[in-house]
Amino acid sequence: MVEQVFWDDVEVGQEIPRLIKQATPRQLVKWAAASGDYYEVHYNQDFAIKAGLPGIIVHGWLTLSFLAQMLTDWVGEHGEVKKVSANYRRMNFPGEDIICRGKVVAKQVRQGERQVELDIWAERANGERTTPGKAVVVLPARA
Amino acid sequence: MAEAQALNQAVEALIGRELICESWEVSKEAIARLAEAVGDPNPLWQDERQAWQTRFGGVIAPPTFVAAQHGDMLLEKIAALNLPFTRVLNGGNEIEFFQPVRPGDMIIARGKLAEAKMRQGSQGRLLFLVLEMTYTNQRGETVVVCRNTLVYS
Repeated sequence: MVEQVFWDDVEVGQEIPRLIKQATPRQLVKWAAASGDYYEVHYNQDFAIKAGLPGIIVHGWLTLSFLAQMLTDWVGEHGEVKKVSANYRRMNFPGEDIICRGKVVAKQVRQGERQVELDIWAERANGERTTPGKAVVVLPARA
Repeated sequence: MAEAQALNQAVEALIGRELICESWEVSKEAIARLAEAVGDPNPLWQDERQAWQTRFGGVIAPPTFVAAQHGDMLLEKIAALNLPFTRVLNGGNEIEFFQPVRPGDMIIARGKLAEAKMRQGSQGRLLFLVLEMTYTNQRGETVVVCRNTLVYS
């Protein structure tokens, strides 16, 4: 596991480590099986095109899971993800880079918890944000 | 116009309606399958031996595990309402986490329609539905609350 990050060391404005993911069509099928979301726009090209889409699209939930992976990687074993949200503004397509990023926007102690608020988002290689969101995490104090 | 009004009324009548109530048992295999689909190698989700040495004392589910389950069921319930739209897309999710979820947990999912709004988009009518799901475990603790925005067009 990675080295533990501490609340004391986090600064507002700081970026957290990026996570670069790709979703292959195979992975979309795996996600369909793992989540029970068998909506055809995620694996049937003809269906997707008939529904007015350019082709099969990545599940919003999968992109959100990539963002969650970035967060759980960052907070480590002694941190905790309290809240995560995402809006699926633009679609992600299989094969393209889904670059997950996050930036610290606030930190506070609330009810004894050392919280960090982040803007999180997924973007394409050209910088276009497909999936903006927010997160709240709790980090341990440096002893 | 009359048709739009009737549709508005039908949509408003949905608000507050309990759409889902069901339970299932969390298995180690289901957690592993989801972590594998995400491509997330964190040992907390899969490696019993390593997870045992952490403060959790064993494998737990990754954040999206509970709320991402049974998406099809959600869509089927809504489809049964026979709304006059051809496409539905996931507009957004907001998830709050209260307790870790472990293999063997019995999860009870309850859902209700929290909001329903019609908007005129550039390519026709859009219907935004917000489904609020609350998941509790066998001890009656709330583990996850999730708001799902579905966009019908």
